Amino acid sequence: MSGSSSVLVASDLVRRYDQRIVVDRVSLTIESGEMVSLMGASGCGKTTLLHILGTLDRPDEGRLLLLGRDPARLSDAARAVMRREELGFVFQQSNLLPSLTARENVALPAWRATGQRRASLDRADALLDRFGLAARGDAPGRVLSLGEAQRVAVARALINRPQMVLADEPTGSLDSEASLAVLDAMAEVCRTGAALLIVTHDPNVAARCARRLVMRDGRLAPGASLSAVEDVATAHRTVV
Amino acid sequence: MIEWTNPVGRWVERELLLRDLAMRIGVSFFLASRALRESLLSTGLLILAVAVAIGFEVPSAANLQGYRGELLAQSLDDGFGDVRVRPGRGVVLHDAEALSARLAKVPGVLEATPVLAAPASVRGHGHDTSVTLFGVDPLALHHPYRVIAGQTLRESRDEVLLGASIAERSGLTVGDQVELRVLLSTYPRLVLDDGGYGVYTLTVRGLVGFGASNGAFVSRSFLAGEMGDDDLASAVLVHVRDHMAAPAIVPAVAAAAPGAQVRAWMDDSRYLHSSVRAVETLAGASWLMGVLAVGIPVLALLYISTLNRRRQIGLLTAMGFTRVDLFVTFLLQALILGAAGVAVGGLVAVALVRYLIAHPIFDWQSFVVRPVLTVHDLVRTAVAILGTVLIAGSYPAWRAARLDPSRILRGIE
Ligand SMILES: Nc1ncnc2c1ncn2[C@@H]1O[C@H](COP(=O)(O)OP(=O)(O)OP(=O)(O)O)[C@@H](O)[C@H]1O
Ligand SMILES: [Mg+2]
Repeated sequence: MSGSSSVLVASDLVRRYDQRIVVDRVSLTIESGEMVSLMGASGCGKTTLLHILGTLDRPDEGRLLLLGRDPARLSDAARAVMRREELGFVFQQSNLLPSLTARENVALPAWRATGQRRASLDRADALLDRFGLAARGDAPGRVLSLGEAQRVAVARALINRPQMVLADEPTGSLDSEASLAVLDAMAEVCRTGAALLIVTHDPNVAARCARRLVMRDGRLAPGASLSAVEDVATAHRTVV
Repeated sequence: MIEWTNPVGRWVERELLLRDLAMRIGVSFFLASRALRESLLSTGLLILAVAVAIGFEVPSAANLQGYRGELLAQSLDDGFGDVRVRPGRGVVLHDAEALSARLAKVPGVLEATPVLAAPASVRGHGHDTSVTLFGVDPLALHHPYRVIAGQTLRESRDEVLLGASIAERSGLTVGDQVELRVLLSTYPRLVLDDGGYGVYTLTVRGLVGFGASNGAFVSRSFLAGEMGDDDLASAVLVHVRDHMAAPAIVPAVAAAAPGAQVRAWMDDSRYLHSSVRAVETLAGASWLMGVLAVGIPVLALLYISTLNRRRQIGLLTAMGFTRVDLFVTFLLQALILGAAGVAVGGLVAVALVRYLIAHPIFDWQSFVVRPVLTVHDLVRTAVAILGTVLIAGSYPAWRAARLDPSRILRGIE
């Protein structure tokens, strides 16, 4: 393991679906505490890349180092432990188990990791409180509003103090006000020292990230500038 | 393409498995019970399916067991014994007492009793009915009949036990006088007016049912005496403890009865043997039905439940739940359902069996089918059904554990 603070080092990742290259020789390094946005037109391979970086999918070629370890060389169970202890995920919607309460949803990864139910629930309560959701702790996942549910999901992603949070359009289903609340929660992620990779179509979201990446036809556009980001965003708006 | 697993990883995984086991079960149990509460209808239906299977299977098997037991008891214990010893030549045995005493000493034999048979007719209220008249030992433990009305036979020259069917056809009942005409012959011959024909007026002391309901029974010493030889018998009936083990004792019995024909009941009463086998086959078929009736709905409904929960499976995988976690969670669902169903079904079964003991499904001439249920039977069925539920539940659980998280999180699987 190197002494650097790189959470993630990807080199020449390739992913094909039915002969079609969806992720095309992507190389990427993310340092701990970094807040990185990833934009790109619909279908350009953002979710695919995020799943590979999060060990939910495997690359066909290339090499990935997560915290100095190559997930491809780990067993299924060890990869699960990695996701549990080092990673957090937030998806666009339906992040919660509908029959569990908000606090149970948040506590679940900690309970699984430590075996301690009470302590996990206490920690969940503290996180919910931090995100202004203390009053919603006992509400079942299915009754929470979209914005509430997304913040609960962010809390859950943080409960095991991960090294990196991967978010796939976490504000994609929200209005601007709710987005803002979720973004504030996201900013908390980096304050914990974790790196954050956030896939988004929203330039306002990208604007809050120190580093902005743009993906085009499966490739990371080199040296993407803010204006490039805005170009893509406008292109997306006209398409959608 | 890059391989996901490596040999070192497998060892690591095993370590992790053990260390994780305790915490895994707690969370999995929580998730399983929540999932069941989430879909109360299918949970209720599954518990019902298991409960109905047990609630039906146990009393039905107990009834068949009771029927089989009663059939054997009536036909063998209160019938013609487990092993029958008949003359090798001629129609009678001349040294019945001595032979019976010898046979009683064969290890495993409970009792050996001689019986003497003669063709006869019964006259009562002007009706004549032909019967086989048996002379039996009234003091023996086993008799080839079961008394259903009146009293059992005594050592007497004036009393007879009458088959219930004969009594019914002739309009006779306990205490009535009957005229019995008996062919007092120990070998086939023409009946002439030469005294080979005895006429007796006897009192009906009791009625006998089932296999004996077309016969009549008097004391053997009386009948044999009338035939001119006190120690005559047509057969010696040998009783053993385990009916199904009767063939095993045949050689020992044959050795003690040289020259005689010795047959186990299975060979002697093909009809009875077929009946018993038919009951056993039926019981097996009903057992299999019960198991399938549980297995199929459990498999189908749990499979549908995993399909409905694909999104949750993807989320759990992203949260770091392993395939084993998912498998255990879904299997625990099956286990909880199975345990609940078995508990409910077990109570229903015991209640039904109690009811059927009080209200038998079959009750004719003392042939009563009362369900026979042992704790062993109940536990065996419960374990079998629970095992079926687990096997049926493990396929959906395995499918759930094998889903590709990337695909289900995109909603394309
Ligand atoms: N399992 C799969 N089999 C075949 N094709 C797939 C599969 N998963 C994704 N794809 C294709 O890969 C391409 C990239 O998909 P991906 O979801 O990564 O895009 P995206 O950039 O996240 O798009 P969006 O912004 O709409 O979410 C798409 O054309 C998609 O249809
Ligand atoms: Mg996407």
